[in-house]
Amino acid sequence: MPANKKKTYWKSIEEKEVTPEFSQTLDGEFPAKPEELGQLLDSGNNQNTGVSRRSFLRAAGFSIAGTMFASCVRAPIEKSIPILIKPEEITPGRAYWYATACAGCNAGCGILTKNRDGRPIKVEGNPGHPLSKGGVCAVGQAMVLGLYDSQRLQQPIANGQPADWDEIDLAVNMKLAGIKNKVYVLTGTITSPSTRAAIQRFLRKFRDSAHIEYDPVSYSAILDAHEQNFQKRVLPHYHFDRAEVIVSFDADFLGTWLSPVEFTKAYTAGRSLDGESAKMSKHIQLEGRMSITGANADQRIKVTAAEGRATLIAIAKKLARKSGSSFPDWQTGTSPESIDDRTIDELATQLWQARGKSLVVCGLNETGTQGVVNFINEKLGNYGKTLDIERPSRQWSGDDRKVQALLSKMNAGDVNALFVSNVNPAYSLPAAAQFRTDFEKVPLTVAFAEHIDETSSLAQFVLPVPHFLESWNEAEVVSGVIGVSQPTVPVFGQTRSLRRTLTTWLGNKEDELGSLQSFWRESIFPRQKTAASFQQFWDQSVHDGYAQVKPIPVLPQSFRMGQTEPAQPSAGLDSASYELVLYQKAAMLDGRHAHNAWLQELSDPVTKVVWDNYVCLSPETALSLGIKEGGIVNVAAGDVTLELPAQIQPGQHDRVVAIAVGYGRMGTERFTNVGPDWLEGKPTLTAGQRVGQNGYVLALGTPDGFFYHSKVKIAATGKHSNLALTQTHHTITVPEELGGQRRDIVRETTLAAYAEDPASGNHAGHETLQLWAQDHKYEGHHWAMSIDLSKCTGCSACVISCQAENNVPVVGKDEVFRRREMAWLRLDRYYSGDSDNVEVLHQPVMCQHCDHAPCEGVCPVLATVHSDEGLNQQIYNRCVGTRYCANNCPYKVRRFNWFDYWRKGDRENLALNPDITTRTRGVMEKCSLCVQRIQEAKAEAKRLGNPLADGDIKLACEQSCPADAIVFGDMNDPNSRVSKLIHDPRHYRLLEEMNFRPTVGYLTKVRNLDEDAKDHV
Amino acid sequence: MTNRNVTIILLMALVIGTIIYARSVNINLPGNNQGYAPEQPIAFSHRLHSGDLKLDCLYCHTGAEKSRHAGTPPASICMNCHQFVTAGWDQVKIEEKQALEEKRDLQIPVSSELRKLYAAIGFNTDTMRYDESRQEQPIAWVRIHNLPAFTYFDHRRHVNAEVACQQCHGPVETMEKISQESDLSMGWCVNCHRDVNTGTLPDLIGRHASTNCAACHY
Repeated sequence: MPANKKKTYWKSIEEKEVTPEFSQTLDGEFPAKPEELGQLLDSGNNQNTGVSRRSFLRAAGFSIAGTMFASCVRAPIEKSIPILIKPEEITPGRAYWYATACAGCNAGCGILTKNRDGRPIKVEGNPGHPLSKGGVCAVGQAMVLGLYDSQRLQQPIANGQPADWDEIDLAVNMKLAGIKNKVYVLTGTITSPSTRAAIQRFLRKFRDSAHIEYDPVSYSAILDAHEQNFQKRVLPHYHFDRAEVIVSFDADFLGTWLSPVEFTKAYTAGRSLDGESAKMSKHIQLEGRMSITGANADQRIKVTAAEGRATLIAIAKKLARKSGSSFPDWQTGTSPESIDDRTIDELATQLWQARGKSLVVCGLNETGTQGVVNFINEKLGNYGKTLDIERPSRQWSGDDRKVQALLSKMNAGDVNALFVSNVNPAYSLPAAAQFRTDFEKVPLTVAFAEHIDETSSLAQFVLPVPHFLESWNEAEVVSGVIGVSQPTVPVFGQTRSLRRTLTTWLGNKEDELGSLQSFWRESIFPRQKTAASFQQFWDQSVHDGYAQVKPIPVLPQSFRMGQTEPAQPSAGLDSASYELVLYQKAAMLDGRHAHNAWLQELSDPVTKVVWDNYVCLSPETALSLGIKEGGIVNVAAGDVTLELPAQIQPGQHDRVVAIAVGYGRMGTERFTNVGPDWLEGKPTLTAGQRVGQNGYVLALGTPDGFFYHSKVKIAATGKHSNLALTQTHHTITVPEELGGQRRDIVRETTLAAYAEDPASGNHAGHETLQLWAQDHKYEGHHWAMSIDLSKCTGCSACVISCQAENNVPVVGKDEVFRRREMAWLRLDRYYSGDSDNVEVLHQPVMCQHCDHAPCEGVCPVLATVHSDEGLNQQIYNRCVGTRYCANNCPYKVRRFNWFDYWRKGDRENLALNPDITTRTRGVMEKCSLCVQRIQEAKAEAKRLGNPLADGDIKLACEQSCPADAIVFGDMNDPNSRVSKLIHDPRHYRLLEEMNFRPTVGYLTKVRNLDEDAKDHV
Repeated sequence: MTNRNVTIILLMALVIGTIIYARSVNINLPGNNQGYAPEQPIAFSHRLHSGDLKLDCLYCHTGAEKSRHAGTPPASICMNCHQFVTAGWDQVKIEEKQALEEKRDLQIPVSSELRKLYAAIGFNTDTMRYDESRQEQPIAWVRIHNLPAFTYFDHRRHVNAEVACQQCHGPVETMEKISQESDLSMGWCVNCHRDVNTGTLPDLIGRHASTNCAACHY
């Protein structure tokens, strides 16, 4: 084994360079000792502590006696109040499910909600949905907490005063009676055809009026480019599973771009090693910052936007030559410095060889560049194969130019009434300040909103809209695929949907369901042929959560090259200026869910930072500017400046700085005291502070659209603010005295090596011994899990799924600094290579359920013991909190409840899962392999008299994984999926050589590379 | 020396006395509510329904065979019978006799306990119909069999394994007022599970009862 060629993995630069700070984090499972205890222990003998043996015994005796007396009372009287008239389908204690469509973002994935006792407690993917196919992202999972948000608007507000709907209807109609023209409805993308129709009907009364769609992070350029090239303003429907070569320029399609869950499903389907022959698509990512998609790419090329654009033009020119057509003689601006001609040649050749089976996507919101991408896809014959514009996506249809035109009209006082719905322009526009001034000049302003936000706080009328989990709605996400939303819980407060409010103003008295059904009867039912009656069609669609109907035909004209040259908003970088990339984080998206504590505390899949946004800098740039991690950086674009802490991001382009949007939202002040309240506790935010800062102010708004790439100057300020990052927490290490060497926690190989030897990269060859083979035979089930590192993209959907299923509390920023985050499932992110050019690996780690569990032997009270089905059980009521188990756990997956995190009386507590204990202070906890689901499935199988089949038990993390990377099952059943995976040559277990015999295993990561085949042994 | 002996004897007498007293007044260990039989909002008789009338337990406690919770029956189940049966047979006989004596029409006799049920669900005994404008008032029964929050007992598994309800709940069909028969302690649960596995319980031979911690605690 050529050991010198083996990769070294590291989770942070501190770990790579073994800085003193990092070594400190390895000191013990638990960081700082409490001061007094520290003194007590450090003093060496107890005579100096002031606590004598006698007084200790006295205190102990008193406590025991006190506890005995206190517990000698009868249990409190509890009432059992049954429902008076029981609906047939509801049995207390049994979950029932509703199919609905997620509205966490515009992608509209199919979801199922698990309901208990009249309320949803968990969101899961709908396996029958034709697009999302059972996957659901972290945001979708967190929507159940959003439903119970106690700050959601409950009542309409008229000019700052609470009002009721009759007053609102009267007041708005009186105002509208005096308005004849120039009425505008500004919304986010509306995927609901009935709402769209209602808006059109409402606007028919007024001249010079329009419905304008605005997406804060806009994809307008893709639609505009298609309008130029095909004369149809459509967003293609991408099929990543059909592509053998994927070239993505700055499109984070596995993280946030367009429809990430659907794309992740398709992407992993195209890279599956499960079949007969190993077949994997080749994914090349060109980008400046490090995105989730870039982290998963087979080949990642660091480019600035200008370099990437030049590369695309160069590829387009080469393809034009190959296909015998012409390409306009556009100047490429900067020549692609970091990319030599050979690389461009290789890219063009690979694409050309995969004609009709390749896909080029681009995340730049810039029409000229998107035109180049369309040219490339057209010349490769990909239209109709890997991307479809005849059955286009309707997920995003914002039109930047119309938004900009509206803004100038508002500025000129040319708008008589403005209705804003489901979008927050006073926060997300680059010129938000101007918008706020102009908005107040409009004679009638109405905001439809779930929260009091930047825009609705300025409107004359604020009309609360229901959460999607409590309302009837639909979403035509792709032409012909219509998701149906149904209420899963009675509405909180007095809310009314946009559609119902508009139809009410038009004199229609139908309720939410009635108005939706009327529309379906007229417009959707005629588009299908399977069902005979409308009722049958409707019932089936509501049951399934979606309907598939005939798409409305889009007839694109043949391709015509547009004449728009690519704009260069960030071209001409000199030594003092940097290219700013504004991006969305997988959890926070465009900022619409900033109220959600789960999402705020989800560590970012790449940077692993929680509760903040920051400036990502490359290590080289940080060094040259003398900036350390957490050092506050001043970012200036013209006269707009922003001061944010720096995060040093390996793999980032040296001329690129990246800032996440979606932070600095109004209403995030609520998280000031989100963590536990104790003597040394510090608030997550200082009084009045918001979480992070608004990055949108640095975006560019031109008449052509919004650009999220611009030119900025950066400078160190000398100030410092620590970032709460979890990446160096819970690092698996070997102490110095035991050798201190790094263990191969993650293993990888290349496709070429894998084809030669499926076990390549996995030849550790440790022989292990079963210590208690006779004593513990596992005669019934033996539960096991297998995680495919090749499939896992690091999207973190499993982390939030686990949090929702297992009542994992939010601890706040200060507790994260103390390494006390409670997530049962963490996603470790490893880098390899030098910090300039890194490869990335993601690895979900939860309790490994070792057959020889080190935690079990050290528990003095037997609170953690092994079950005869191979589960490592944690018994909360037995646990006395010695924390020996956590100190002895080599995988560092145990979490200690330092506090009572639950606050009584919060409405958010309705999201708690009643099937699992909420743990109290002083108790250790960890992944139980969702034992409540195992028990439920076993009980149901028994009840129905069926044997438990493979796949009957789906764990929370497994169910929601958009990449199908996690498989759980019984390894005593030779035909179960997990048994087969355990015998896969790629299968290995963490720290196999220590003989803990974990039942959780991993499959090596395979990258589609043909080089280095010999190195992966 | 003698002083010391007297002290020891007195202390022992105190301890023994306390134990004897504790046993005589039936003091339970903390958390043990054995024998708990509180007043209920409606004096429902299991002796009458389950014992004399021989109603099946599952007729009212519908959840027991398909859910974790057996469930306190909803008032709508009571109304299956009690929209026709408004009083006990004795009361009906008395009313018949009185009506005959007073030479008047028969009035519908309504028992005082059932009046509470009708008030809760909004049933008018004059018209023998539900009130259109009724205000529903849930009945707040007092819970007797109460396990701690960290214990997940599943009725469904026990009922489907053909464990008789009386095994844990005692002779309910003889109880006028329901009371907690077993101490519901973990030792009591586990002993029964062990007995099943060793084949000591004649009714449940050949069955398996888990003694894993996570069978109940998660």
